[in-house]
Amino acid sequence: MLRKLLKYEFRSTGRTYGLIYLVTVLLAVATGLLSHLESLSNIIDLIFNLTSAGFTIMVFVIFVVTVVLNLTRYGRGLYGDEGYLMHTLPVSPWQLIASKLITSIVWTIATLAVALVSLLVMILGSELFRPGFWEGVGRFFQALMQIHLSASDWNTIGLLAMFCLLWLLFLAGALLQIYLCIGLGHLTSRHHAAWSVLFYFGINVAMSWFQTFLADMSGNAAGLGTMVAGLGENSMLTYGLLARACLFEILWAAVYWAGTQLLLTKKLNLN
Amino acid sequence: MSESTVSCPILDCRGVHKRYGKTEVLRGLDLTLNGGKIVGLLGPNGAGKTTLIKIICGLLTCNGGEVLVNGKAPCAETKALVSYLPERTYLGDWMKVRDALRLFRDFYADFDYDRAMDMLARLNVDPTAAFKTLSKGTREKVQLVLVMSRRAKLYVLDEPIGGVDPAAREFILSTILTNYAEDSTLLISTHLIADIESVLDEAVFLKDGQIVLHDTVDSIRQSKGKSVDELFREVFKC
Repeated sequence: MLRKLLKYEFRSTGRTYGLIYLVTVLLAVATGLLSHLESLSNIIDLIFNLTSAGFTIMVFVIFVVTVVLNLTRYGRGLYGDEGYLMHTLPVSPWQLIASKLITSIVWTIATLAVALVSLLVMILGSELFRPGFWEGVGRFFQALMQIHLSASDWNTIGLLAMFCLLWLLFLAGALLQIYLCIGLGHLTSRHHAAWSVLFYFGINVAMSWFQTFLADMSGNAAGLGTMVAGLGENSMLTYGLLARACLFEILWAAVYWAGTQLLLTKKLNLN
Repeated sequence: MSESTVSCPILDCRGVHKRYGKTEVLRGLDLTLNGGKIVGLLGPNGAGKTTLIKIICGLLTCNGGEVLVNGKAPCAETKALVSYLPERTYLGDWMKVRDALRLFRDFYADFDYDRAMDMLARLNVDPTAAFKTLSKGTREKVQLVLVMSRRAKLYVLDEPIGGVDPAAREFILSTILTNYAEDSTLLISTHLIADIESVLDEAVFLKDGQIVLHDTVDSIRQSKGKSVDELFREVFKC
């Protein structure tokens, strides 16, 4: 059933994301290619300025749309009219939560990838007709094939992989916190969105107090700075800090999940 | 199938309480329905019909008492047995009609895709049409087709003929009667008694959050000497 829910979720959002990603990439290509020609005439220069402005706006838009859709797909999908469909399907609440979470994470990663790739495409497009470009590309790939990674390099890759895992867990926890706040907001009779925002800030304040308290208790206020500084110096310490941070993120995500599921199971009141 | 599910009623509500804030909508409601009946859940606006239906379908949680569908509290398993038509349209604007059919086919093992396509063809609804292009009435009909194309144990229809013209009402009632499985139970909530009385086996009167009458239509006519509609007007007169 989870696979079917995921299929439904991706289909419901795919068209929107597909369109904005396509527009972003096309604007990146156009901007990159036109950068060679802008000096040829005022009209081309104008078009170049429009496409580069459009590209900048679209990069902003894809991030905003991602955030908005992540919120509305959960809020409206489970507490709005569509909730009458979702909550009468023969699926468990955990499957509903998982489907929303997984699609939100996937689209967030896709949005980041599209932003980076389109920037790269634009840069490559602007270099495309310069002398020596293709030789440079060839040299790059040759060097890539000849890379021999040392133990230190693998260590760095390992740490970067753990950073990525930490970021993923942080993203999951952040989304689940939002889902919990949306659910709490719908416990009230009116002004659900406003209450959800209040709960969100309230939980954030409580979390930061709690984390400060924990840091004081353990005598170790190591944060991201320490972890980054540990790269290449004392990587075991950094691995340890990263592992601890991952564990905390998993713990908070589990708490938020449990709360969200409890609200859907025991406190659902679709009006 | 276990012995408990063979012998238990399809719906069993015991002492159900539900309040919104300080307002108590259902007050210790008891209702038992067995299989193979068309039951009218009748009451004026605000009687608690939709609230009771939503609790049965798992969209609301009650504050007290219990609701059992085929012997179980509302859960994923009972939702596979219940086919629910809400008062509102719940399908996404992004969907096309055939997307909705495919969704129902994916999630409900008892969904008859071919029957649904046949009903849509008779309604002249293009399966490739987007929901946002359909009129409100057509969307409601499509939802009805989806719901009645399932071979469910319990059909729960919330005001299926409210807000539609008489010709559409006739179509809706005819669709309901020709498509539901005869060993299934149909629970129809409405305040338009006269239109539905002829198809009902049983009538349940809901007043101020409690059942004030639950009897067969024939018995009501014989014992009270009046139609269900006439009795309704008498019981619920302002």
